[in-house]
Amino acid sequence: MKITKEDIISVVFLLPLYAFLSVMVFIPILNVILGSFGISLFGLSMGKVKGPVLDGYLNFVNPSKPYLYSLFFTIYISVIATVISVAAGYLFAIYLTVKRPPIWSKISSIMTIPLFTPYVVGAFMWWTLLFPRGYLAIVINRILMGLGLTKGPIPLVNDPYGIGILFGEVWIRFVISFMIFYGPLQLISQDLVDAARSLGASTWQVILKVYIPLTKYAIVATSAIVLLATMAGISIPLILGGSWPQFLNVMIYLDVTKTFDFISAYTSGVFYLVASAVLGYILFRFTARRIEFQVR
Amino acid sequence: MTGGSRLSAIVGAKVLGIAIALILLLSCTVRLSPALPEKLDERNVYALTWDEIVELAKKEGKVVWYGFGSTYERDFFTELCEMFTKETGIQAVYVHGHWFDTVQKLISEKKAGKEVGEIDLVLAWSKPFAMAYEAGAVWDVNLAEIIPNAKGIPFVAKYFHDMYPSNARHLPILSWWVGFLYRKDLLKYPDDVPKSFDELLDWVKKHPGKFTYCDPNKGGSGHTFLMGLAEWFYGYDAFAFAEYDEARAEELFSSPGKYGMNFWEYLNELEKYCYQPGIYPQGNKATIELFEAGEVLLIPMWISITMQEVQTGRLDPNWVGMYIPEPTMPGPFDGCFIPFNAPHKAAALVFLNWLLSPKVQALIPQKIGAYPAVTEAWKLVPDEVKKQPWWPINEPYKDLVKWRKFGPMWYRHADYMFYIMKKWIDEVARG
Repeated sequence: MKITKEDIISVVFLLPLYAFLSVMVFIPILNVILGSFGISLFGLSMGKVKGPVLDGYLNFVNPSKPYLYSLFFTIYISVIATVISVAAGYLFAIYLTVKRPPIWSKISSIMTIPLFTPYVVGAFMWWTLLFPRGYLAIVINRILMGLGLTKGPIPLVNDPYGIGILFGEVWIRFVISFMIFYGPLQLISQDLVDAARSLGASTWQVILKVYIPLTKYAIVATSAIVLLATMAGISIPLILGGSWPQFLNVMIYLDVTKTFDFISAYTSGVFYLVASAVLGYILFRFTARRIEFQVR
Repeated sequence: MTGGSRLSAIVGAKVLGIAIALILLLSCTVRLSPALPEKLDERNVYALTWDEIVELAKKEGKVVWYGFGSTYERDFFTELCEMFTKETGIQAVYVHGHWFDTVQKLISEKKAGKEVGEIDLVLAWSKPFAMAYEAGAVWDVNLAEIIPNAKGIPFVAKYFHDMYPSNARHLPILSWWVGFLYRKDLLKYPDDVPKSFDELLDWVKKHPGKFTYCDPNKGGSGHTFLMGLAEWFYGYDAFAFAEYDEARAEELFSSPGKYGMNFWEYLNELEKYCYQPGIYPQGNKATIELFEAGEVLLIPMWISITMQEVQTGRLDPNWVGMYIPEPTMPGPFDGCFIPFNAPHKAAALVFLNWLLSPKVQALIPQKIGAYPAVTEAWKLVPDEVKKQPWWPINEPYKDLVKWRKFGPMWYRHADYMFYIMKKWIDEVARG
């Protein structure tokens, strides 16, 4: 095969990008993978572990150890948080699109507060609202007990069900979802809505037959973004999560900074990368295909 | 005596006199213009006098100290650096960070062969120090032999940190301590509180939901409490300066201790009567928040954090009662080490000596609610500071000098403590 001048030029032009990807993506990932076998790439301490070993993987898949369940818990809570955030964000964006309340232009900036609040601050805010003497915890528990659903106050933060994490995650992700949905919804031609209305469609039918079909790829793409961001965050599960079960990234944090179990941390990192990559691939692949079809 | 022999005697005396004068002159010359080394190393540091080290420190002119802790500690350490700069003319710079990053940086520099770094002194607790020491990233000098003020530190704390042999390559500057914080307005010591660990389970059963402790992986009050509990449960001798072996730890912690239970069974039994069983506050702050909100009446808590919460107005001082349960509570002596590649080693030594001076040591209880490493400095602490409610009220803890001299003084075992922290997730949190 003959190398043309254009090939050389394109390689030269893309060289900085390749270098950037190597330094910022490839080498760190390689470091995590090698670290999971007990091999240190940059001379960081691996403790007493002398690689290559499979101890990290054997430890991770051992059901009596906390890692596998932590991975499951991370995905499980992230999926629930994503479903709630995306559904709430979408419905709110639809509401604004359909009803166009005049007050919205005055209060819309308030919506962006979670976007500009550091996650750790948001997490502490929710902790003070949800800890047993937090007013939200008191109100929720009174309602639940009043309805006879619970006998006594239930823990809403640092709890084993991830309720506190869900509050914190949804608070932030809901706004992100809403912001992403709001734009595409505004691009839908009002003529389509008017046509549906003139044929007798109710508001729900307009939503189901017009808005949702025309924004379904945005829904999938947003779900992917929110899911991966929720899985990757640490501040919220660290502050609002419980002693058990824990997000896998909290386990990594503890392994690195508290118990110096580096090989477990690296191995969890590999599983994290794999889980995120698989989920990301499925969702983005699906979205990309559909967009391709739509463009055709 | 003949004239010849007299002459030779006079000449001999003169020669002797000149020789003595020359020797004296030579020795004076040596003392007057000492050949100060360009930089300190593991060999020449032992040969220099303290004054020469000070002189060298002044030539270096700067010391960079990396520390960690709360905002209280950050402000105090920054203030100390300003004081030191003013007093000595040697510029002291405080960098507030995380010990983990600092130690990893030093280990990387060691592996990369970086001979001159940026850090002169590192505040560290036992495990990070051990990591740095084992990686060869610590300056291999017995600081206790060089630094004059080190003589005031208790012997064991000078050579061990959380039972890890520091060989005085690390010198403590303070000791944070955990006690039992109880609601003084509702409970009276000693009648209404568990005076000893022996009484803890019964007390918790009688006061369900009124006791909790911090998740040991999220806060030091939690793992220090569990270490103290383990030392009581299996006896201090089971841990005191013992070798760590995981198989031995497994065997020990699954063997019966008190009440015919093993350690984990005991903790799970305790958990049934704790505040919101199965849910542990995620950090020291979260734990004391529950106390401040009136949710719990008794918690293991750092004296320093209790002080800081009272001083910031979040905790009512009338609620605060502190004591150390019997047999006692172990604690850490945190301090400083000099990295292998510190650029200003003499200045670091002088600064560390200054930190251990009675005047500075006496500031520690007042400013951050920790004990001084130099025991006698407690005598210089003003009475109004000692009277504050966050200091333990029971004997012998009321008087640090008496406590340190006559005990009981227990230490934490870093490796067994780490074992407890890790295993606690499996055996208690998941249980």
